[in-house]
Amino acid sequence: MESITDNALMQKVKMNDLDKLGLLYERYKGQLFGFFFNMNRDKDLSEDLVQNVFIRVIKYKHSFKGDGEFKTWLFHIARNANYDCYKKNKRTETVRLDDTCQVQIVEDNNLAVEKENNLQLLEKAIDKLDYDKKELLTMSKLKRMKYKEIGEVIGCTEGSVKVKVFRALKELKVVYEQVLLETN
Amino acid sequence: MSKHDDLILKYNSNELTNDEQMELEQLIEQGAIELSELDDVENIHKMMPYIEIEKVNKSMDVNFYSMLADEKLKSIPWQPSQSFSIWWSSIWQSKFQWGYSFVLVLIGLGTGLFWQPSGSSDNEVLQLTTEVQQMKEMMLLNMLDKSATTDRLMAVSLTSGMDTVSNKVASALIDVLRNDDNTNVRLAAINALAQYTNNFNIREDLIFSIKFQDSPLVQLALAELMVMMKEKKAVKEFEVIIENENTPKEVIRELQSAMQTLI
Repeated sequence: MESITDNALMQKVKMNDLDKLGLLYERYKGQLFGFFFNMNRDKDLSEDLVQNVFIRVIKYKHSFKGDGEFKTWLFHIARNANYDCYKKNKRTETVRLDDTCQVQIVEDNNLAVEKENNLQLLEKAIDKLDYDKKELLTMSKLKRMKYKEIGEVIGCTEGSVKVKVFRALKELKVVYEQVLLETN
Repeated sequence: MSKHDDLILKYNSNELTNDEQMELEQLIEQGAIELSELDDVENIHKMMPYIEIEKVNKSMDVNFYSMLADEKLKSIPWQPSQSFSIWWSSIWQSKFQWGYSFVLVLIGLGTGLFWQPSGSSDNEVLQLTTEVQQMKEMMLLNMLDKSATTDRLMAVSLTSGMDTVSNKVASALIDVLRNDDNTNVRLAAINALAQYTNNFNIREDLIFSIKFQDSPLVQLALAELMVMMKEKKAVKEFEVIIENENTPKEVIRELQSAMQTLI
């Protein structure tokens, strides 16, 4: 089934055969939802953003040249959609995350399994990172995108992505330890 | 021990100088050192895939396919207006446009045949399209059972752009037309079924559905559809409505006019 490439399907969408967008949606809805959910920890917002991405795909279908990977183009749109939303809701988002942290601290006390506890603290630490670092880690570690693919999406070399990921992971480690201290 | 190993060891023991830190980053950039060799980042990295992600709601699919149906409608250059009769007459009033359209279709067909990809690729596309259609039909059937009117309206709108529908979906739509409490949902079902009037069974079911209608709006919509279908068998059904003393005068007038066209 995967023998029909994403690019071939997108070329059909570009020629107004919009049914083919359904196939691309089925292929990427999970990855996009995961990306948005990891960035925002908000299920409804993530679903809206997935929808927003495909609306943009239709709107800007003429700009798909087909010389690069469809996935790269799609995640480029996804990044823009998320960033627009982040800018729009910046103030509200900060409040929401703070609330989430307080709720989670209470919940953490009730969690018996240490592993689950640590993962929740890690989520909290990821939320505290700068937007760019959080986005980079979401793509590389949570969505398992290759460094080369990320480089194409954010516009830098594969090597440069590795260094950025290294710095982001280092910072995450520091923030994670701080969160751990605050909780104990 | 190589220079790289020494750097890694120092990093893992947190003993790197600033210069060594820069050298380490250069080596990472060049691919000479992998992140998996650095203990602390590797430990954090290993934890990350286990972070839970919520499951996607079915509503996301519904929203997507509704949006797609809307976009497809928008991309059609012309759509029937409020009335089937206006649409039908407009077709005959624009013979020249039909002539141009016919020429354009021929050019399109010629170009399509010339550029057509290999047969196997077309078959695969067809297979995938069929699968998407089956999925949409499944979603449609599920949503028709919902109690919210908007859900049922959305379900009916999913047929937009489906060239054909399975018998299961057709009978579900007929069932909606006969039994749904909401007039708007019934009207939407008529619009949806109007796409498939070349199917004999659907035509027969539509005619049979006339007697179930007590809403003037639905009765008139069905009358317009019957005129469009040139379906003489519907006359008997409309006579019953006309003879009913509860039928409003305006509706009787419209139905009589429709019947004259049919006869």
